Amino acid sequence: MTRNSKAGLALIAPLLVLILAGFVLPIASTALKAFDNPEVSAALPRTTVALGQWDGAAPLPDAVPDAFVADLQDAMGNRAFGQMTRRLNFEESGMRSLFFKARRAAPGLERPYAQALAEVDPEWGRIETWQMLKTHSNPYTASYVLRSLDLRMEPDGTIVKVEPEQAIFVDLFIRTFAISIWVTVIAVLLGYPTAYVLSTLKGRMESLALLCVLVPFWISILVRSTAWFIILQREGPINAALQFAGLIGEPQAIIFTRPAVYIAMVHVLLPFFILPLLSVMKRIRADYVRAAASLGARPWQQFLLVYLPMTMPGVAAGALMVFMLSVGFYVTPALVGGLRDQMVSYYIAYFTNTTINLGMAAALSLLLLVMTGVLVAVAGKLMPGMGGKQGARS
Amino acid sequence: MMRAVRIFAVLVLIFLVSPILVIFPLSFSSGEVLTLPTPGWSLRWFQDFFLNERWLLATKHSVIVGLATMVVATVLGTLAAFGLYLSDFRGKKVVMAVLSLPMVVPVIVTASSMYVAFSVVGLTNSLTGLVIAHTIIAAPYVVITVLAAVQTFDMTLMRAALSLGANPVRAFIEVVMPMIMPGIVAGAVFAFATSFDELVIAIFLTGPEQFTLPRQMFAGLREMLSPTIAAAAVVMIGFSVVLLLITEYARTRGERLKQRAAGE
Amino acid sequence: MSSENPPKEQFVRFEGVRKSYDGTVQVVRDLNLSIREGEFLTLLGPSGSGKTTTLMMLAGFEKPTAGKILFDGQVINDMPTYKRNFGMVFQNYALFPHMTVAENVAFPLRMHRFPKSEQAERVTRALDMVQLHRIADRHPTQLSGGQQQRVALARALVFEPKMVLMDEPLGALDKQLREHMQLEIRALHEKLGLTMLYVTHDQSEALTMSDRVAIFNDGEIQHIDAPSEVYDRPRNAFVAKFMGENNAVEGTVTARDGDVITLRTAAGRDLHGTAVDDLAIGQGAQVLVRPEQISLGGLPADGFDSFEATVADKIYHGDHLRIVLEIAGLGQVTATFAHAEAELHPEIGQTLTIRWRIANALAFAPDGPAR
Ligand SMILES: Nc1ncnc2c1ncn2[C@@H]1O[C@H](COP(=O)(O)OP(=O)(O)OP(=O)(O)O)[C@@H](O)[C@H]1O
Ligand SMILES: [Mg+2]
Repeated sequence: MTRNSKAGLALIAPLLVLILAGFVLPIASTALKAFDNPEVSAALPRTTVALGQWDGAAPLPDAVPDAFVADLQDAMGNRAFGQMTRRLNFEESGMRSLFFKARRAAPGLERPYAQALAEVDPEWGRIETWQMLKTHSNPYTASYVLRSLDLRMEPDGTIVKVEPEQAIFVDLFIRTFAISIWVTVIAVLLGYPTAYVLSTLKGRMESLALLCVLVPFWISILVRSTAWFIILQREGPINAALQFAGLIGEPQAIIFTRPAVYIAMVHVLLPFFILPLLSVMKRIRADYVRAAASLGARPWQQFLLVYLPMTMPGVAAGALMVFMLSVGFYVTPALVGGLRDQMVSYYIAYFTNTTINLGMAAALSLLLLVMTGVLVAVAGKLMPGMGGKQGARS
Repeated sequence: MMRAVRIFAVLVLIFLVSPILVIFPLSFSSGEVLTLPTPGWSLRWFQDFFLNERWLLATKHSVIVGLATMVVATVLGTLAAFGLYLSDFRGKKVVMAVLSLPMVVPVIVTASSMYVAFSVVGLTNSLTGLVIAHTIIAAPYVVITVLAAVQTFDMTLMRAALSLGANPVRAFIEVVMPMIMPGIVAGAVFAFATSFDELVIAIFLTGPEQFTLPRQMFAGLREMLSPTIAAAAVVMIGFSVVLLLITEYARTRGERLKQRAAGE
Repeated sequence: MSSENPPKEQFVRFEGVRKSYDGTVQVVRDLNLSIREGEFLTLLGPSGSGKTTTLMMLAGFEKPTAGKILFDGQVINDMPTYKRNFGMVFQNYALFPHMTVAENVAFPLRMHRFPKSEQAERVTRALDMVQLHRIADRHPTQLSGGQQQRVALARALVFEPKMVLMDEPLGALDKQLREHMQLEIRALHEKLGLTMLYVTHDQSEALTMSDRVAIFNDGEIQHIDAPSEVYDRPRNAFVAKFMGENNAVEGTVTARDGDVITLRTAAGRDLHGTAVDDLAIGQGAQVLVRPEQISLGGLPADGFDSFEATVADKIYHGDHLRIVLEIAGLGQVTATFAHAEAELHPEIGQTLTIRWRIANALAFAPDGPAR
């Protein structure tokens, strides 16, 4: 390594360390959290050991209920127990009360415990209950990720679909990507001609038009979403104007609908598409299109065969930007969309802040990251000009 | 054909600015509800904003966090940009990729991950934690703008200064700095703007005691929609426009310098 | 190309063509120009004189503000570019960066719907012609400047256009490559017999390549003729001064004998000149003498002007020698000599006799105020 490189590395180090510690580490721990399963082993350490020695087949060895009752007696009033019941209840409803019932009864139980527990609740007499406990005594679990795909694991290890009323996440992902793709497509359709016209302007007109793109670009996403929130209200200016003009009798519900989400998101993200495309278009001299014309290309051929391919790197860069931002959008759909218009981000926030189910939040985050990455990579393969090696020359 | 495209573009530009233009009359309305046309004009909602302790505190927090983020992100980002420019080691690509990660990971994922990790070390519900988080998402942009400025800088000017008897430090301060200053200013302003406008991370990392202006607005929107929100939005727009003007000034200045350097 | 028929004299005609971009400044004023079929015509002139604009109007990228452009007897003012069928080479080549060399060259063939089989064959032939068949699959960004230039040339020629327009096609090349490409383009012209309209502001390029040169200034053609005519018999002072170097001596006309005038300088010295402009006795005038027309030594003789001169400076130029001479009452003049001629080896400070042919000393009206 040269002296320059050492000095250079020393200059990079502070930021690199900050990003590694404050960003890469948290994200990595999120990725681990999606599989982390500490609750059962923390609350029931002896049971965990006993379950580990059991092969999972009937009959249940006595060591397991013995250890379980011992753990229950220690678990009086400790937090780990509560966390475990919540964790298991997430897997199968009814678990919470089942465990609390057992804990309440634990001090008065007599051997053989297997039978005594079954008398507290017949569920304890079923082998599946213990199999489930065994599954979740494992320090790692796939169940969060499975649940994020509307799947779950049966006590015997087979993977099945969750009940239809709980199956919301596949739809959620489809909706998230569908909304993002549509927003990207609309942004491309609106932004391309606009960027083109902007690239042909000169002097005052150029500054004015550019300002119309730059001002929204610089104004906070929240402020712009708020503007749409206000404008699209039932009592808002649009309804008022339409009523005033006599076009509608009753105010129409625009806010909290899918179109409202599209309008606001496209508005927020359009500058992110126009600006990179504009810089590419500005660098393409008129000569190329002229050359095409002189070689016999008709106007539509000049556009389709020369101008469009040459601006493709800008389209790809802008579209990628819009897509990546919209996949993670939270504020705008939260403000102007209804519950059925929310995206994955809404549920990540919900699981992190409201129900504090960090495993689910982590699994959704992980899947969002992975799916976005895969989609972007696939788009990179399919879209021309994204490789960068044939970019327009200045 | 071209005419139709032009009209289309004008409509798109109107679409881009109209919501911002609608906010202004609403914030100066004398009415209680957000509707147009306004029943009359007044400054009552601005009065409401500027006399309300919550809004003022939130504004103060936003400015503090924004400035702190700007300073830290600009210093770290500028150093890193120079480091990247100077060095050429194996794994430089990897370092660049790591530095640009915060720009490509969806903010919601960043925010929720930081929330979990920061809570372990007691950085949630604290402005310090928010500054760290904002620095992490803003610094990569500083790196990009400064690196771009440094890369277009003609190193023969530095050599010329050395040949004319300036020592390297003097040469750097007198020749290199003025030329890349516009890039640094642009990066700094962008860092401030990023922090000032940021909401998602603030939702996760702040409690009511640390609410920033966007966070307070978001809370206000969910509670009750009053024209004070429109006034707050106008205040934020004011900040944004000032920042935009500073950047444009730095940009045109930078271009002029570069042109002068090229002898045009 | 119909080689049996005699070449058309008025293959292309500009009739009273004017162009203004902004409505006030006339970039091209009253252009009348005929291009012969098969000729190599160069537009030469200082920057901003309207050469590119003229070319753009012929190519169809700009519309004349007034006047007519005819091609083969037909007005083409409103014909779109893609129907005109003129091959074109741009200063920066404008090779499509997203296509390979072969795809670039095939582009006009596709546009003009040449049969598929013929396309491949023509691309091969065109690339052979410019010696580039080995790099057919590369992208333009991977080529050197000279290679790009040749691809642009192949692309403009491959579809057998009715004529070829080139706007400073060699401007981006270094001197040696430029001279090489000049010869290549010239050879291609001879081989293909195509009509070529070429724009440059490099006068030596114009002189070596063209059948005819049109000198532009201020949106007007100052002189159009064969290179030797333009150089040796310039029609006006602008053309004389624009083409090559000159020693200018100013004074007042004191006598006139046919073409030959006598000019008296402010210092009272007389010399002679051959009038090109109409010059009357008593009028101000200037006499221009090219450095290479001045010879050292030699006796005063009929048809010559000769002077006593002192060598003020001597500069070695490799292929020639440049001597600055001080002539009493005339000022300084510069003379150039091939080495063989410079046997006299004048030393600085030495006084000697010099002379030039009066027929080569051209007299013009003084330069007007710059427009
Ligand atoms: N598109 C345009 N809009 C406005 N003015 C133009 C345009 N193109 C050229 N001009 C002006 O017209 C004049 C002639 O330009 P033109 O390009 O024809 O000159 P040129 O002889 O080709 O010069 P050069 O040797 O520098 O290429 C110049 O003053 C130029 O500024
Ligand atoms: Mg030109």
